[in-house]
Amino acid sequence: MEKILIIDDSALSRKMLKGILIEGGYDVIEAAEGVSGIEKYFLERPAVVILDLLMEAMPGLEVLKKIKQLDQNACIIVATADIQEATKEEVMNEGATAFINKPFKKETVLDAVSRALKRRKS
Amino acid sequence: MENFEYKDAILDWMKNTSNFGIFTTDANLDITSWNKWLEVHTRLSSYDIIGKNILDLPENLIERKFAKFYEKALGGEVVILSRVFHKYLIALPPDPQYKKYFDKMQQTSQIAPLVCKDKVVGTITIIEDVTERIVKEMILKNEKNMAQHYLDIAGVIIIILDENGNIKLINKRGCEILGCKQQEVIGKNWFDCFIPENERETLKNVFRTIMSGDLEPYGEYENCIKTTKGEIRTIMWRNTVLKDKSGRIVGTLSSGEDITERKRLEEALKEMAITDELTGLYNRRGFLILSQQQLKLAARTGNSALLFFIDLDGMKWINDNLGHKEGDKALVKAARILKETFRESDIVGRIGGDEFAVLAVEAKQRFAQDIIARIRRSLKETNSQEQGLFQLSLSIGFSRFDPKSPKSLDELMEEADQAMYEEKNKKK
Amino acid sequence: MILTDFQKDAITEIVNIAFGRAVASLSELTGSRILLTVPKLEICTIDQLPSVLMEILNSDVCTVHQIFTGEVSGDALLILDYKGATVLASLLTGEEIENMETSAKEVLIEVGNILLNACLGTFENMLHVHITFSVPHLHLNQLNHTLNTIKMGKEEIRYVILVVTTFTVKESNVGGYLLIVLGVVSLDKFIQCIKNLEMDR
Repeated sequence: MEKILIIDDSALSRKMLKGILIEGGYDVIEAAEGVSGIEKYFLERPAVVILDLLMEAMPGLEVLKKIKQLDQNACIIVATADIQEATKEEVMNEGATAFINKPFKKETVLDAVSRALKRRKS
Repeated sequence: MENFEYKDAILDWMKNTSNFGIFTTDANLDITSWNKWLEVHTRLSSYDIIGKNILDLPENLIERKFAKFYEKALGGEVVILSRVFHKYLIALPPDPQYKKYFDKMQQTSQIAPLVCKDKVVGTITIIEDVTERIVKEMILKNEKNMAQHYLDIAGVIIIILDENGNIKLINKRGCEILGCKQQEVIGKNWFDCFIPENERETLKNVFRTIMSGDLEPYGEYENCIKTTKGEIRTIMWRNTVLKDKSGRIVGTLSSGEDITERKRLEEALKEMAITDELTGLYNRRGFLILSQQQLKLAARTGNSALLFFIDLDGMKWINDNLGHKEGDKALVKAARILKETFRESDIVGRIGGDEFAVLAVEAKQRFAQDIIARIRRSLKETNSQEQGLFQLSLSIGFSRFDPKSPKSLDELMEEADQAMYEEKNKKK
Repeated sequence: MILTDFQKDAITEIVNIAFGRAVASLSELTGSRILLTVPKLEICTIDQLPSVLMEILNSDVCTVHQIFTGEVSGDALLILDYKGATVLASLLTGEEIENMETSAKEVLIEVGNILLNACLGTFENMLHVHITFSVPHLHLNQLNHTLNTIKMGKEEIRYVILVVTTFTVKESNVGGYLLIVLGVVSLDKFIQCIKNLEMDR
């Protein structure tokens, strides 16, 4: 079973996402903010990360940069409700693998995760 | 049955007498009603259009980009399309009188769901023609800008004070000279901010007296102001009081010219010994330098000027028979008469032993006679009042400076001299 | 009424998502990059509001007011102080706006509508409640007058979900308040829906 790391400061979002991923047959680990998220990434080595962009303590963009700095091949899917072009561009430039919208839709999440995994393998 | 017909009747009446465009659709976005306003403006009768789908309407009537708003409405949301962001929903020509401003009618619209028993059964769209209002807003803004523009291009400082001496308006030049930004000073007190401390209370009192109506503002006066950088500048002001409709005094309007440089020049010239010690007027050199400068300015600003030559008659006789002291007295009297007749800004000089010259800018020929008459009147008064051993007599000649065909100072002086000579000879 | 941490967090997350959607729409509409801060959220009764909003209580405010009905019902309001409203209108339209003339009001109604719809819509979506919205209205009034209007004619105690937020457009900030006013019954239903989310999965 592939491991997926969720980094999101909202208990609600983590709960919803966890539900969707477990149904999809994945193993789930969680972090409630950026620093512990980065730690968990290097300790647990998940296949894919789902990262919330809007976090209070350490913004998602910072977390993205940090993880990418230390592991170029990291597969990071960014989640947010703010789908402005400018935001998307910024995020993709920092090396995000994909972009999904909040609120989470089961099909969209599972689709994005399986595509990210395929790319990782190739 | 009756109830429905009654309600229908009211609804129909409202839709068709409305000043708004109103149309409704069902849940498939097929049009179910199209009111009179729309029939008139689109030239499409409701008969032709009812049943057509919104998305099938021609692009030149309603653009496809609006489809997403109808989707939202079907989802239960009210959508507001303000004119600012969307310009219009349905492409229509504007009222002919506004064609020069816009080629399409400007509209604000609302798309709302029609809900029956918690289910969305259709949509209703309401379109308001706001062209007239927008044009009026534009014109008003433009007028404000034009008014500000005129104030700003004036080369002088323009300030309006309210009844408390607070700044209500100041033009660009004013801001430049004072060293401030418009927004920073509006509402601040003029006297507290820009009048040097030692003059502040006095001027405040003068202002208060003017506001109470007990004093007319001085026509023209000079005072010093302190800029935000602490620099002292001398300004020549012209003031008027402002009154409201009922005649109550509500403030002042002042235009001011920064004469600091001119004053400095005058001081410098004084130090260069260009004043005549005896009379206090400019000496020949001073007169020539300043007149040259004034004529250049006049040519540039398109102002006309008059050059007067005034000769004290019988100087030799006075000196020979009554002594030099009397001669000096005569010169001083003559100088005084000239100083009183002419303005502060005119250039009055003693250019010879018994010769005076005056350059009066912004004077037209027809005023020359007035000026000469005034000099003669003053002469008469002085002669009758003062206990002198003789009667003062002056010969006057003048020449005119026309900015359209400007003459040199030399030419003007020759002409005036000639004219004066002729006068002198006439007397003999 | 005391909410658990999870419940408060859930409402915050829902408002976050709603703001995200609103900002995306506003950005598309105006062509500028817009940010809405991560909101500070509080729940209190409508009578407790005056002490919370003390600073602006007696000043002129611009309110966009929308009524919602359905499984939960109440009032949604976007409140900006007068100066803030003119600044926001200027920033969004790119024009110099000094007074709340009609064009500026229209802009704020559209913006308020987008924001309030996003909020109510997201609540509807995530909590699975059915809500219908009214046409929004804009009022220029003193804040205490506006609050009184909402209290009027309602017997039950009313609760307010208060979100303090800031719009950032073109490097300038405008602060505002979002209020969702609910009666006891509606708030109960609301909290029930959140509990269902908690239980679910």
